[in-house]
Amino acid sequence: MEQNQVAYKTEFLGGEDNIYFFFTRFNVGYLVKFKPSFYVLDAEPAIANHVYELIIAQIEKPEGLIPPDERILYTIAEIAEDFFKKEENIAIYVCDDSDGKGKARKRKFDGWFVYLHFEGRGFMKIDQGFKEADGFSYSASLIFKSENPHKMKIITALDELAAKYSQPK
Amino acid sequence: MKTTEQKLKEPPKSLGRWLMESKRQTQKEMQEEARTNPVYRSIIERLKKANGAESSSL
Repeated sequence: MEQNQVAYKTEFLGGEDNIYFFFTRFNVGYLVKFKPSFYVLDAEPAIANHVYELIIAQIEKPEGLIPPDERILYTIAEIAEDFFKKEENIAIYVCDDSDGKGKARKRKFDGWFVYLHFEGRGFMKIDQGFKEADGFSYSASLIFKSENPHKMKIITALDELAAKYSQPK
Repeated sequence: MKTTEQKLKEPPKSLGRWLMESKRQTQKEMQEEARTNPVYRSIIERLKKANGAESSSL
């Protein structure tokens, strides 16, 4: 394996925090949190109680330009593998579009999914675009293990969410 | 005070804006915890040290 494909060392803090820590060789620090979000999907507890929002925060960085660092991708992939050891877990990722860069973020996120061969590792991703009555649009993705016994219900729950919040066509 | 979860039981007018605001708020909380929470600080310092050791061996 090439050096730039090696994940960084991570530490996990469980409990309510449910958070992973890592630092890069360029001294950039990240926290990756899986925030319990049972209230997002209007689904039965067997599904809703395992929904977590994936949130990544940069906590420290040195002054100046930081070179691109592929190892971050591999680290996040390793974190995801760990998180999904509980096969019923579902992660929701929302691409923020408040600064008009939502589409670029979505492309990047989709690119990661393909580049890291997540499908081959037994993950499924379903995407849903939302367009609200005032024209505000964004996308949300759900990621879960393909052997999740509730996968059809998960897909239905996301469809229902979109129907509830998107304007009629 | 209502919790985040209770707030969403009254459906927000815009789910997207609500989720994005919630995400930004959580990111701020994570950054604050990283600065002030002693448990977080000790993990961060440990990782920085491990990272330094890795860099010097490359």
